Amino acid sequence: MSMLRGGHALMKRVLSLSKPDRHVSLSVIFRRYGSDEVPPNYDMVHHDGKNQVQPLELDEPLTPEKRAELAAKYNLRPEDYVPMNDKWMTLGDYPKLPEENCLEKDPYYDWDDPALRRNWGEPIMFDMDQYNALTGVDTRPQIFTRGQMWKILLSFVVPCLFLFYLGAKYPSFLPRAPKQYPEYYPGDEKRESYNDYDFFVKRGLNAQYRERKEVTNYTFANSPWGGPLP
Amino acid sequence: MMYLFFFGFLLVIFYFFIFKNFFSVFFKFFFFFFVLLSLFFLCENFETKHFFLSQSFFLSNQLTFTFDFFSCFFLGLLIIVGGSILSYSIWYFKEEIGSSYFIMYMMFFMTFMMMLVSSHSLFLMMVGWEGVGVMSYMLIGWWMGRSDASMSSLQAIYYNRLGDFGFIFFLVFALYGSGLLYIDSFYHNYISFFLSFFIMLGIIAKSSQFLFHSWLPSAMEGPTPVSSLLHSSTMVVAGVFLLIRLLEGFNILIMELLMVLGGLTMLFGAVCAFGQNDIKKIIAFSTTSQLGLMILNLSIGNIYLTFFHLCMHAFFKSMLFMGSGVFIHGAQNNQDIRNFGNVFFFTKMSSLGMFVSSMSLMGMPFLCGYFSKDLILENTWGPLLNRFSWFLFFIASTFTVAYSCRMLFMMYGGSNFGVYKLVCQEKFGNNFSWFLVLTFFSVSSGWFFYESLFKVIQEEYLFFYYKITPFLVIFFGFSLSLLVFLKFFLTMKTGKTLYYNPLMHNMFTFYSKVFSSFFWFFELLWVEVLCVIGLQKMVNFFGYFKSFFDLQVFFFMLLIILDLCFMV
Repeated sequence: MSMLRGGHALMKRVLSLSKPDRHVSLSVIFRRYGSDEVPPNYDMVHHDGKNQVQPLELDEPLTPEKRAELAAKYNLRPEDYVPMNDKWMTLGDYPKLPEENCLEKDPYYDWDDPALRRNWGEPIMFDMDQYNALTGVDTRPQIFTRGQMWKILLSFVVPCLFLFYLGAKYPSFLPRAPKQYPEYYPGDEKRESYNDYDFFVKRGLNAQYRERKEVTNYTFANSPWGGPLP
Repeated sequence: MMYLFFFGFLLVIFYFFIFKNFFSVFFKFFFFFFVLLSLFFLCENFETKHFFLSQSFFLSNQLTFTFDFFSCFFLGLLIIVGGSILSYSIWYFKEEIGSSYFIMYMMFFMTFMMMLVSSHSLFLMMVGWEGVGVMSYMLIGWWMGRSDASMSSLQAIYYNRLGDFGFIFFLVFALYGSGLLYIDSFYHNYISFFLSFFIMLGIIAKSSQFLFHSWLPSAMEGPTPVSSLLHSSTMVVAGVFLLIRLLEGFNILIMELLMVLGGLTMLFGAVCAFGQNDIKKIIAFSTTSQLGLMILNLSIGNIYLTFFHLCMHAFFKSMLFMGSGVFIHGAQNNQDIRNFGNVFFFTKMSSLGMFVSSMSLMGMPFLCGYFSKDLILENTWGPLLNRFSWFLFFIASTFTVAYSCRMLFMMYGGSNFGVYKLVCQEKFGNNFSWFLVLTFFSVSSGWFFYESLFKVIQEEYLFFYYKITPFLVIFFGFSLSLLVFLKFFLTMKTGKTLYYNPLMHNMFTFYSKVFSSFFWFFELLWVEVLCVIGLQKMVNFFGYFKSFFDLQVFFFMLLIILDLCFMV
């Protein structure tokens, strides 16, 4: 029994060898707070009638009174309000908000909802995915526009391809004679059909591949440097 | 013997589930055990061995492993580099909460990589291919609460998935053409074009070639050990490794296309790295450039030479990343090199390692990168080759030297830059064994493996003006970086203080007077050596070292210089 206790003590000592020296307790990370008391029916929303999204007619002009009324409905200023007026998705008077990703908004501002970078009461755009960095398209401005980027890329790549064509037409090489292979070259052993492939036969043990074949790539007879006749 | 690799890693993973904390004693034991095994592998004969894993399902008779030259060498490399990085990550993540899970993920990644490298069957290679992609996703997004990291990991998945699409089509065509899924079951016929085309998609996505490159700089959102293991040495070279295996059955048109893409990648990566200010992004673009070089080399047909360069690149690139991690820790997680300055004062070993690795990358003679880079350059002179691709190689190598020198100037430079002073990371109690291993390999592995294994590569006999091209590359690259820093050099304040400041009196400034007396001592005649004054000066030289650590550093530097002399 004492051996078991000793073993436990030894294990504790061994395990404590690589414990990091934490000057701060880990419980700092796991602080627990009480949940806020929410009034009843606070999370429930009930819109009816005119509070819902209503369709708009294209021919119907937007008078200043109607504009102010719809802007108030969506908690916007009248000068900021532009309706979608889309019959396909029945988004008649829903406001057309700037289609910017949440990443475009200031990360250091004290948003009410920092995850979505939105304040309470702010109207929500139709494309909800843009409120999340992972699901939304990154609309942050870049140094160059798309058209400029395409032009820069093509103005670099097309001349490069032309230069590659020229390089293939006028290749670089050092003057030399063609290679003289030995009698037995492993490349001659290449398989020509799959029916001959035997899983259990190692290469080199097959007598067929041990035949020596004479190979001549060139002779010295016709060369301008001269040489003995074959 | 072969099964011990997998068995050992399974044991280590098993230990995680028993013991909550990971303790380095067991890990060091396994690390050295596997290092010895890997050395044993290098001595064995390189024949293909077939192992059957299971009985009766589709492809059951085709799930085979091969331990040929490429597999054995790369497994040894993976264990040495991976082990160094794991011991580095224990130090790097000392204050991190989930460090044991991180090491578990890295072990899983290494298992998948081993499977990819040693498999003879394309099906198992697919398992490894997908597995390294998934582990890359999990490791890049390690700090998942950071939206940039989550986006970058998803971006890596998107680009790798494009490659997987190509890989799957490649498998389909291979099955259609030959009925077998082996890496050597191809020959030149009408299908080889489609095979080559679809595997080319896989390769250019995995190895971040020109149009599929943007995931690699974004992947620097992950921790530094991840960048060091995955995105410099092992995962991104999976595509290059596959091409090395499959090149003999490749279509010539696709090889020309790969030459174009490789050349463009090389140039693009090198030029982008020259303008970056984030240290990890510089090294990421450097990796892109070197991968383009490997693909270009393979499109010419130099298989063993590319493999040699792949292995040397793994050593010095991982060393670069790990040194950058030390600086990032010292600068309180700030990665901008404009805020680094006088790093040698604070991190003697890591800055030395960075210096040696950068020299290796540049192709400084007789370091490990020189042997592979010089051979590549020489072998481009001989065969019938696209003239423009040679120009691209020259220009990209020049930019490689330029951005390496720029990085070194920014870090070693004086007080013109630098708001932060680095916190010293090399304290007693921190384990820096990874540094010794990788610096040793960065310096000597090129010569060692060239003499022992890779000397059978064809040699080219060149004229003098062709032979000095690597030195011209270094010269032009260095001068290009000087153009940017001309103003800095003219207004340099290092070593020119108006008063004695103990913080500014680092080894270079304070001991420079001592170094001059050291050399003066050696210039004496033999008669004067016997004088007491000379001995006194020698004793005074060693007396200036205030701690044993500085003395060790001095002897280590001496050892490296002597090592180089022996190689010459």
